[in-house]
Amino acid sequence: MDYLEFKRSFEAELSKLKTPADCKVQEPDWEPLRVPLSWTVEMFLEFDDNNHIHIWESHDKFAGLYDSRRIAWSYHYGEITTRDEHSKIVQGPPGAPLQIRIDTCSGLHLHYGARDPHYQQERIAGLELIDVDAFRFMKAVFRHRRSGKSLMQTLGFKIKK
Amino acid sequence: MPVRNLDLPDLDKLIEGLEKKWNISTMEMLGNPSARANVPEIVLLKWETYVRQRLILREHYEKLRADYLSHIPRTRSGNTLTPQELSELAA
Repeated sequence: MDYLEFKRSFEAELSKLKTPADCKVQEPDWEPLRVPLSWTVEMFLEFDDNNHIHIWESHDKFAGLYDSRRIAWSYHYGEITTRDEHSKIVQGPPGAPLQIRIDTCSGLHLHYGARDPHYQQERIAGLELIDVDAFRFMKAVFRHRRSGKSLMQTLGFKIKK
Repeated sequence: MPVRNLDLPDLDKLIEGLEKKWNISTMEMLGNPSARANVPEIVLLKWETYVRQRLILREHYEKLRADYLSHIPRTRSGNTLTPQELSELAA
């Protein structure tokens, strides 16, 4: 899949996403390289209760330009702490509150309820972190908000002691 | 949907902007855990991506240039390229 195919597929899936009535989706921002060997997509979904989802992914092409792979990503859900001068949500400080985040910074891991600790895959049962993509993450948050079940339940994982 | 196409000068500017904003060099960001601890993880991910993308583009342009150089004739109209022309192409 190349950049244009990926973008088309991502936007098609986004258009099919059933967002709750209290959720506003900010249009995704795309940053492809001028020579589209690599690209990123970032989007924010804002809820009326001052929570938000922040999706960010980076992809590179490989294998003779015919395939792409997700290289780095961050899927975050938590309180909105910072906005820019146009009231758009922007990244908060390092210790900004969170309910859950799955990201690949210094290796794939999960945060749950707080920035620390970082739970690596070996601490997680019932969920392969690498199998969670942006849409699975967003749908799990929607289910959590709708049902009142914990994010642990909606994503189907436990943290090992 | 908003699209921003990035080329080498854009990446240089973005990386420089991050260095200024977080007051650490890219080398520190990549290799110094205590410097990294003060930067949000999503910013680190974006920063690392810009660095990787800069490398990808540099390699791409370098390959393009090497391909070009390998295809130009060593002589034009029967005349060998001058030392100055050779030097300019090699620069």
